[in-house]
Amino acid sequence: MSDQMIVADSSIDYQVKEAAVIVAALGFVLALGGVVIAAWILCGWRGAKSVSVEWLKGKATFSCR
Amino acid sequence: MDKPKIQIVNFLLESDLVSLSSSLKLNKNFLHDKSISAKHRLHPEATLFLGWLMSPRLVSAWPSFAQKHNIRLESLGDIVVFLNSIGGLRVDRSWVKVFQMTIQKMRHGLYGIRIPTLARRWPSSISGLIVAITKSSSVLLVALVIVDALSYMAGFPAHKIVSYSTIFYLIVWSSTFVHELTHILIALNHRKSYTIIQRGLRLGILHQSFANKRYEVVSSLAGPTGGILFALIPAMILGDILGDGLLVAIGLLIALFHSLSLLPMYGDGRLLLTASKKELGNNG
Repeated sequence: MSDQMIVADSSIDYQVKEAAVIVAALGFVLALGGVVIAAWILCGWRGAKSVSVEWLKGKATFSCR
Repeated sequence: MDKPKIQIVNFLLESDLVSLSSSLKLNKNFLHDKSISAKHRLHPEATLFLGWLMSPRLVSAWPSFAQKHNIRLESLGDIVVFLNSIGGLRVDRSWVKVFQMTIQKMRHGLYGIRIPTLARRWPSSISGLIVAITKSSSVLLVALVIVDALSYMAGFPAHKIVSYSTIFYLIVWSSTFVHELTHILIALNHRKSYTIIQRGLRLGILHQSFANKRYEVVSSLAGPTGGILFALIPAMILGDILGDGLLVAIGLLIALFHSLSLLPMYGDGRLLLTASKKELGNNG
């Protein structure tokens, strides 16, 4: 026997049917968190009213109280 | 003089209690993976170590085991790296140590060193799937709570934020459940055994291969389709009842996340690509 500790069964494919949903959802929530932190910095404590995003222009407008 | 700390692999801590997953069985010099009928050949030293690992063992005890049986520590490392790649380890770790490992991963990450995530198998049942999805989405839930708190501190309407976050999490959870359950039902329909493997945020179903690659294509497509439909339909119904277009947007967004599973890089998409190539090769 070779020095290999484990010789994997070559007839078996260990590919897993994986869903990317939770990873993608976390990425989205983190991005949202960034927007919220930006609103806090720009408008101060409890100062933000709303935020609107123009996706095509890549512009976000923060409305403060 | 303090005993030097020996780290066998960087994804295990000395305080971890490690054993072999219950779906792996030792038979003479073979490691049987009952979930997909695999038989991996073992070196006699590996047989000795894995026999010992049938019961939970503290990682701090491994060096003395290795010394007693004249096995190199590197060999133990090779074995556990393989086992982790197939979700074959069962690791019991306290919440404090989980947090410690998270910090360690982040610190190593800053130096460009990637510490592998622990993979684990869950019981092949509906309750096993429920627990696996809840565990893998726990970080998402924590992130949502933190963002909700930050939103309140920024001045956004708290009640709206909380309700949208709750609906978002519930649709992510339930559509992921439907996505994975679809894979399981197709496997069971063809009398294939399966196991649920969770690796951090990533969750997947491992089952015996279908003889006919066409069923593999169907299964790889059906899971994301089920997830997409179960993300869209409830969101559209709720959005229509409450007259809130944002709920429909949430459903569309989560449906998009499910469709990412069809990308050829990994998961369903990669299996779909492999199965389609084999099927075309058979027909050609």
